[in-house]
Amino acid sequence: MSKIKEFFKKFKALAIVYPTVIMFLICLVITAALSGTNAITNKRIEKLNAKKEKAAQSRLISADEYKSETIEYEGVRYEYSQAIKDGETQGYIFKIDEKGYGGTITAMVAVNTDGSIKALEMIDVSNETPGLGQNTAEKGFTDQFKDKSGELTAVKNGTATGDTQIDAVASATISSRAAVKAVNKATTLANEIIKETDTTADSASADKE
Amino acid sequence: MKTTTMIVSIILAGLLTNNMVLSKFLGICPFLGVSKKVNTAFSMSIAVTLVMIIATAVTYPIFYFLLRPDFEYLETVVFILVIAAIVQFIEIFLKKYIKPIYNALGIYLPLITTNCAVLGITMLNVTDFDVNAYSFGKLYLFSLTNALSAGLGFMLAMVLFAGIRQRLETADVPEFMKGLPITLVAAALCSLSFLGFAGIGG
Amino acid sequence: MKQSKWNVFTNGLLRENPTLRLVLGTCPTLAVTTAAKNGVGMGIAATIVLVCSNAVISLLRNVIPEKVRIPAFITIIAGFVSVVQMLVKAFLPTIDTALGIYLPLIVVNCIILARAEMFASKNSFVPSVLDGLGMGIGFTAVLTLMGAIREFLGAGTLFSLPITAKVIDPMIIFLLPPGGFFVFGMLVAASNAIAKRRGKPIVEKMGCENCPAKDSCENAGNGCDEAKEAE
Repeated sequence: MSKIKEFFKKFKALAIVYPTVIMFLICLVITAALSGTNAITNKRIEKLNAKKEKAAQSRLISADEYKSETIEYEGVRYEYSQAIKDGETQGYIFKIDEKGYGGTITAMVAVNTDGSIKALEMIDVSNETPGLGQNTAEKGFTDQFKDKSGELTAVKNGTATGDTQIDAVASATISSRAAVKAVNKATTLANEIIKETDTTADSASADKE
Repeated sequence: MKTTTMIVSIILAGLLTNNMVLSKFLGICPFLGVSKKVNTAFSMSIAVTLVMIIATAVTYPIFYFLLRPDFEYLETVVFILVIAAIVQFIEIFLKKYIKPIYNALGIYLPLITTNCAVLGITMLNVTDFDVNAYSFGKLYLFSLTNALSAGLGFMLAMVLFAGIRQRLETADVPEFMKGLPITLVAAALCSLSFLGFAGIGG
Repeated sequence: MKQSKWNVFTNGLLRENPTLRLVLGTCPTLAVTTAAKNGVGMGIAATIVLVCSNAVISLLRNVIPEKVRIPAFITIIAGFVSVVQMLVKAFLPTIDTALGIYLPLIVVNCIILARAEMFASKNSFVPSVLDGLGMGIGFTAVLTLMGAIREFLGAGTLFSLPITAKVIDPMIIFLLPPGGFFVFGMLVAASNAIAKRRGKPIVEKMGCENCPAKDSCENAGNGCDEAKEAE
């Protein structure tokens, strides 16, 4: 190896070539190694993610098919899936990101076709404080949302009254508020979708006449 | 979220609620190392902010147009090499053309390549904003704002902390607490005070 | 002075513990130690990268030209980090969500570049691997200890097993950022106290002076000296 180095040193113009070639070779080998690892792990990661999402979906609404759709609302595109059982729409599942206490939280919200909430599952609260904000993923908190509809608000733990108030997790008001915000976003989107399908259904029936 | 509210919330998060140093623990090395004097802390933060913005301006399009969606696994390697190259380039450029700025900031530049705040912000830009939800123009705007506000947040923490440390120099502390331990305790109190901002702009 | 292989290995465990004695890699030390389990995960991931990059760099030390030394090291380290990241994502997804962005940020963990620069680029294969292993284990040990302390005080659990969780209300502040700074400060203070009792110097240096880019910094025009003077 040192002979090669000597060889390059003899030609001053080539002095820049040696480092460049070595750097290039290192990059080439690293890239090859990475794409190799990616080829092995990629399928597994995808399968893992798909399985996780599928499992969450079927926990929220049991259906035969989850059709992926998108909706644009106030200039932002949202993806959602339409849960279909025996050819009939059971409800809509939204995956919503919201700013929590330590970063982004991700909620999966199932909304019935009448716009009321079927179920809520917090699928990513890893940025929140363990023991506080992360407790928003627990059933005691998420079960409160069942069958509620309209604009919800989070209130201090133990003071929730009426149909639109949600008990925040103790000492984790910000995380709870973020969860409520995500749910409100989901219901707003669901109402948009329901409105749209109603009008298309109306116009379709109108066409028939 | 509307674009303007999004930008306001990004700025508030970078400055106060999700401060780079005090709540995300990025860029701790310069935070502890170059914060003994307010002047040095200020110059260092200017250099970091500058590199963060330029690094974001370069890496985000690379991620969006070249790496996504099939080559995302090359992100780490590509980003760190791009940052290293950018830092070198800025250094050469400043040395040659804008000597006064080089004299003021140049000494901090080599330290910035391995500063996790810079690599951190370029990676956070990729994870923080949902690529499917917004157009490239908006995403680019958000990312650049994010870099700017993270840099300013870094500056705020550095300058505040430098002020505290200048006082700490003359304080009488137990032998085994001298130096790093007492500095870390001071950082803890500083970070505690930033907890009070939680929820702003949420 | 040639060190024995055993000495090279134990160096990183106590005498030159990367976190407590050299004060390197403070970012992950503070960020991921909200639970003992995360400390272990981060420590092992960093150890793997450290051993592999030390091994490769020691083998290539005569091939890599001086001029592109740092970029070459960074590329090699980034390569191993990405490999580890993909493997963790595929096989340990819970660790991946817990470590988040700090997993790819191992690239800029000063410990790894510092060992490449200070040790692997000057020593042969076997000592470099042992050095990486020693440093890695030292790093893992401190991270686990810190995670355990913060988890115990902040959540009343240890490795997710409840200890005092149901009996005493935990002090959540230890899980939040200030707790990280505070516990780390106390650990350094304790290590200083022990070092003093045994007649060793206490750590004074931090940040810039331990920075692995210091050499390149000095080449670039006495950067660190000025920074030091300014301090």
